[in-house]
Amino acid sequence: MISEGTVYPLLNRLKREKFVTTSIEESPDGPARKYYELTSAGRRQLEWMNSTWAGLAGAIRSLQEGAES
Amino acid sequence: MTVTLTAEAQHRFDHYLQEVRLLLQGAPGIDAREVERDVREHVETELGGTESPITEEQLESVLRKLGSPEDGWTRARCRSGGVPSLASYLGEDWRLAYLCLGMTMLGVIFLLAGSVIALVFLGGGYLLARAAVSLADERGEKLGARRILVLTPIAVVVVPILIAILIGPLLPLAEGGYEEGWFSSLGIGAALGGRGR
Repeated sequence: MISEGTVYPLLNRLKREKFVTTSIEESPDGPARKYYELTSAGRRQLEWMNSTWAGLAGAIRSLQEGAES
Repeated sequence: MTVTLTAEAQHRFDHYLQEVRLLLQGAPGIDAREVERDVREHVETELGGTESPITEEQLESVLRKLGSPEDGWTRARCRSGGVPSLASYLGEDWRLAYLCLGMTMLGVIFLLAGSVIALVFLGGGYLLARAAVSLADERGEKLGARRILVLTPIAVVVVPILIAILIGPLLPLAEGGYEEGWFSSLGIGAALGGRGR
């Protein structure tokens, strides 16, 4: 199981790689909140990763189906 | 911090943040101070609705969900000691490396053709190669097999300059410029076979 804290170093790296930007907004419920937003480079990267994942998942599925049949 | 902690809870929280700091210090591509600030804000938000002062037990329940920096967060670290870069998931990006080498090769071709434009390509290839090295360093990546593509443009510029710096001052000696050079007083020219006084 991945703990909640793991996300902060990863988000920090995404920010350093300019895949996300951050903005601080005041919150009526407590301390100011930090919002992360994908940059255009981040969106391109996400699309690329999604297509890679889809390809990988499809390959594994076809392997499973081949093993079952 | 806007929430108030008991002395024990404060001590526990300071210790936790110290662990975070130590763990992330020097990790490539990570701003440890910003992560520490994020963690502080996370805890503050989680405990925002709780009556002050916050006890160690209440704090512990939040820290447990955040995970121990040593046991939990280390899963996000790669072998080199940092959080893995996106490149480690996506594979290496060779585009900049090929661009460096391509510009340098064009520079060499123009140089052989005797064109001054060679300097633009060689200089451009050198600068891009330096940028590629810096970028890899910033992302905590190793150049790996890209090394040859990136280091060649640097070598093509640096090596001739170094040779010029080292040998340049000695050329007048070979050409009989011994009398004019500052090294005449040191007797270097004579040692190298130049004409002595």
